[in-house]
Amino acid sequence: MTKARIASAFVLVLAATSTAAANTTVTGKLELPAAPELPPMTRQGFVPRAENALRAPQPQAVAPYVVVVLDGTPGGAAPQVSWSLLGDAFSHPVIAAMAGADVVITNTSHTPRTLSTVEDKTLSGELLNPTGGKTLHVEAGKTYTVHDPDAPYVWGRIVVVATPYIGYLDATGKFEIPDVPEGTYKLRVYYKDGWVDVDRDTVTVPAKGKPVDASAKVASLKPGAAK
Amino acid sequence: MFLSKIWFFLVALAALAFGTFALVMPRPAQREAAYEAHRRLVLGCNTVGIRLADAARKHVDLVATFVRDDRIIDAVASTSAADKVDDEHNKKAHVAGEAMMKAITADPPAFAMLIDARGRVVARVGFEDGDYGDTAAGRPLVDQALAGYLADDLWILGKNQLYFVTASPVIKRTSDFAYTGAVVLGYKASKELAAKLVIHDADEAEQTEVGFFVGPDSLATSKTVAFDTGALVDDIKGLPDKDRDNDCTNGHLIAMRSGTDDYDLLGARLPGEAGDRGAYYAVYTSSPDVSGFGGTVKKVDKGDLSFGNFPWLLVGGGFIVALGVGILLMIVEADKPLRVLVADTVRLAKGDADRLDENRHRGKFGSIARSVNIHIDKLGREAKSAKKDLDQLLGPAPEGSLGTIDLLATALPASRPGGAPSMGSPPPSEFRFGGDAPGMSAMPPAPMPMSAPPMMAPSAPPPRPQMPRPATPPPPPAQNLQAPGPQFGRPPTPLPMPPALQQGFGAGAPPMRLDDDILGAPGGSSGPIPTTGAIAVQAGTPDAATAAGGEGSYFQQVFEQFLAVKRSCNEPTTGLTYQKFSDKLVKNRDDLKAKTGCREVRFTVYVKDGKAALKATPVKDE
Repeated sequence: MTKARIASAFVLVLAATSTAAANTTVTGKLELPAAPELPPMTRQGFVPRAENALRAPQPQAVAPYVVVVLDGTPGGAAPQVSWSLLGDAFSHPVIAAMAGADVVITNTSHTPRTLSTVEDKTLSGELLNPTGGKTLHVEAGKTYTVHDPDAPYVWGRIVVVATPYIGYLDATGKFEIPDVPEGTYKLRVYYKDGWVDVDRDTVTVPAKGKPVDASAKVASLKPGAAK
Repeated sequence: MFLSKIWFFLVALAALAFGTFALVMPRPAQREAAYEAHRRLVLGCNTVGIRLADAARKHVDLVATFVRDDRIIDAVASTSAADKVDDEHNKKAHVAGEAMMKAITADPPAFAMLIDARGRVVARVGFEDGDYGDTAAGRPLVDQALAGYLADDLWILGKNQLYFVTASPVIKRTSDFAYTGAVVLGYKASKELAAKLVIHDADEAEQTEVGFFVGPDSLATSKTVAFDTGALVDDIKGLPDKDRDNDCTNGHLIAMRSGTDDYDLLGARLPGEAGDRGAYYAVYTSSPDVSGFGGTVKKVDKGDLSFGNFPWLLVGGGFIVALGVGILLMIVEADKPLRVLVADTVRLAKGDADRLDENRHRGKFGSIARSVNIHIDKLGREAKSAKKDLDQLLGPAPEGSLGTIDLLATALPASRPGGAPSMGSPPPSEFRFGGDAPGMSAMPPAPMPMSAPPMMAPSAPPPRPQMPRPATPPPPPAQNLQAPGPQFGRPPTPLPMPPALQQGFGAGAPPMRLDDDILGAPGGSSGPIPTTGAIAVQAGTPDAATAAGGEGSYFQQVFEQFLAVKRSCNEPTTGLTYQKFSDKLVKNRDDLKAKTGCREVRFTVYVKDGKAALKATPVKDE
């Protein structure tokens, strides 16, 4: 695998449109509830899994499945979104894209994949060769679950939102949304299968100045009434 | 014949019963063999599953041991801290992985994969060695290992290559025992692995082979056999998804043919990721040889047919009894009655009896006798009718004076059945008797080749044997003035030949049978004259007469001969005109032609009891 490919493997590029560089960056940290234990394999091998003798197993990773969205006045055209398939997993299992955006799926591994969408036939057995790409135009109000029928563990989800201001968590739960125009936004958090409740409703972004802290606490990872 | 039929029916029934028994008899053994084969395959299937699970446990323990190697921990941990996996990380990890692989000598894996804490592949050893940096996280087994679990799975990599894989977390040997990555070991489902799983019977006589498949594709088998796995795939698809642990019990025995060999197969799904993609294993053995009647016969050896193991005496005795009873019944019901009938017909032909004794014959033979008697009666009635016609023409003839017709009319009973049989001689017959037949030596040689009288077959006369006809005109009437032959029973009464006749018909000529046409005497000039107490004058033949001067000439000749004979007998000829005479002849000839289907009628003038008489003899076609 080339260096360029490695570099792109962990970067989800949100190519924003011509937003003024003078806008404010929104940062913060999500306080997440205790992560659930990793469930056993759906289809285990000959023997049940066993814990190692040195340390208790780690809980399931939550951050890769969380998307933070500032929902407010739509800010122009939908930016193109790049989504990398890094072998046996997407760079982010769950991403958000503004309605009308083109999501370009790039296979950076050496393994060809056959991709389909579960909800509809936007993708229907599309062959994605190594280094190849496939564009998916997303529509408002939809959710796209992309998977490889030949490798069920290859799985990713696209949540279509009405805003280009989208952020992702690092391993510690921190996020950063750059170039957010002045205004008041609703803070929304999506986890795996749906929107979850947070203890903060809005984020007010000034016209220009220091980064705005939008930290919040997620009470539960179960999908709630938040929309 | 009734008992014979019953006996043959019983023999056929017994043969049917034995045949059915022979065909049905192998079924239980075949069923038992199939059950035993299924049981053996189920046992083998479960055994293979247990062995695979046991191997998976050993491999898990093995990988858990080798992830404690400091070189492995260091190579993986150093990469986990980096933003990207570079060549240095890869080389370091690859060296550590190779060392680990070499250290595993007892059951070396096919490949090893070293993964950092972020799920990135740091190095691959033994499979796509140059490929690294991609994300293996997301695969359930890798996720389990990164989370701290020891687990196993089955992967399909490359072009349908099945691997049994195990994974273990890599844990730093620091105070916090931090998870820093994972190691995956893979064991390929190869022919060697399948051969290790082959199950041998205790006596090593048979063995249960093992194969690994993905859908219709055979990946590796312990014994190379080309299967059409369609039926096996269908059976695998029909197994209940919620009871995967009991596939060996729930599966069905699949019979397959590869080349000239038959096999029984039983499949069970493999677990894990490969199981989701249709991977399964199958155990198979050669089908039992016992298959139906043919298979059972093939299994019979000499020992089974020895006197000690097979009731030859009983079988042979039964055969002899069945054959003897059948022959006895045939003798009693067919052969003996037939011999009696033959003897009866011989007596009839020889004249010792004028009818067949119907009371001596039973069943069909009695029917034959009755039919023959009915026909004899019919012939008698027809002869009487012919005699009556001549009587009307010429006046009542003396008893026995009409030769053949007269004989038939008087020798046969007036009616049947129950009528008293006539004691006269039987009519000429087509029967030919051998020279050694009893009583036949007394028969004169001339009448032997006789054919049936033409009048006996009016509608379809049988072909006459070729007889030489005289090329010359009919012999002189004097030749016909001959004493009757002995075959007609009554002793003839020679009469003095009138001089006129002697002159007209050639005195001193050899005697000629009166009915030589009927009796078929060769040349018509030999043999005794078959008349009884009569002197006959034959008026040539109608053909010869016709050739000479027509039918009228022939009738005129007969008329003149008849007048001459009447005068020689001192009978009155007043009122006997040629016209009246020829009319009678014509009528009589036509009647005989109609009755007998003859070609022509020959009239013979002769003396009977001192009176002139005339005989009409049908002349058949040659």
